[in-house]
Amino acid sequence: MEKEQIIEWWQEKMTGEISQENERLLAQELSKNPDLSQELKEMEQTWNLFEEIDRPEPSRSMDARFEGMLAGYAEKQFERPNLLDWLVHQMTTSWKASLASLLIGLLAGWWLLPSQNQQQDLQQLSSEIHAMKEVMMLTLIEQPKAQERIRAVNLASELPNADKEVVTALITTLNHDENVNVRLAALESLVSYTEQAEVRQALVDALKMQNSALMMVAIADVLVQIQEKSSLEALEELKEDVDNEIVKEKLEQSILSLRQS
Amino acid sequence: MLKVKDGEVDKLNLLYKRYSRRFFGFFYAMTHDGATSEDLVQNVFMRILKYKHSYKVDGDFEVWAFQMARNVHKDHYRKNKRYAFQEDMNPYEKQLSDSNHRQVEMEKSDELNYLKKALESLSEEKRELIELVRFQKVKYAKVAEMLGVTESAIKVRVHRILKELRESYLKLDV
Repeated sequence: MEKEQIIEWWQEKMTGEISQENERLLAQELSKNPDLSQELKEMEQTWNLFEEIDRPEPSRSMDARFEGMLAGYAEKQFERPNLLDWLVHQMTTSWKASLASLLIGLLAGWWLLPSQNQQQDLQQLSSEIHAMKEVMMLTLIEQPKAQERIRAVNLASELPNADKEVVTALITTLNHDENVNVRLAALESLVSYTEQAEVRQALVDALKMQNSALMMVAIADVLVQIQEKSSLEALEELKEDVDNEIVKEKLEQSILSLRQS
Repeated sequence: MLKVKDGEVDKLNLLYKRYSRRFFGFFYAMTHDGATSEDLVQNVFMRILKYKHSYKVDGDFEVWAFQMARNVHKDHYRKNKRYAFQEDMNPYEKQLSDSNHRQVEMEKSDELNYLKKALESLSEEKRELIELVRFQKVKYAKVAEMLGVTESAIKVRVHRILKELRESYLKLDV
């Protein structure tokens, strides 16, 4: 008899699952094999010792929690499911339902899409607004109040593709407006158009037109910022002519940084 | 269980009365933490409700339910990785020590303590097997079904674990 078989019978005996016949066979085999018999006797001791191990009991709150959970569950079962729950359930459980909802969504989107005519209308409207802003800017820039003129200059920087008229108006303002703040605002707006060669030239020329130290320094800064080397001569000339030491120093710095770059 | 499956959820009460203490014992053996074990018992019954439709008419409830309990424990273990942090065990410890305080039982409790320590040092899998066979008294055939192995394999495994336990607690006894 194999040892494994004897052990299996012994295991069955321990749990009370052994048949009478096998129990008899086990006893017979063990009497022939005293070593194994001794080993299994010791094991039986261990097996029985398990019985002595105390097993803790759960607290009373466990039962209460279970009852609460069950009551909550039963209550929920009686609730009528609403339409939204039903839809979500259908969509998550059936691929057909989710595909159908996707198709409905696509169709609705297609139907709601703006037609080509509408798009053309929109384009026309936006170009009209653009034109209006230009006219408004050109009108405002003529106003006697400096505040209005600053508004005009700010409006110009909002126009993405300003035409020549707007740029010319800005240059004129930069050179001839009596108010320094307006001239400064015009300079700021012109910075966005420095890609145009004539704007860059106008900035170089503007150096000579200014009588305010503030403007001179601001224009010199812009020229350095856009790296306009053709302005070097004009900057040198201005440096010679100007009396203000601070401006002289600033112009010197600008010349230096333009030469180094 | 079939009645629960058919929607008579209040019948779950009967199953709870029959199995909650057993599940608690199972979880306590695996986690050594009373509060966690109570939570896990709750989880098992929640799962039973959730998956009641998957219970087969000819299935064995004990196998199905313990399988559920094993999964609940596995999930819990995965989430917490190990039981480094244990919540307040005092009430349970107290329950355990109350019966041990008498002088007469001191010697026996020494041996028992060694056995308990040896049990605790077993691997997760081995402890689970001993718990199911010895303490929960689940029949070999059912445990074999749960673990997806043959009945003989289970018996041999249990025997080996018993041997290992005996050796390690005798070592502690020295």
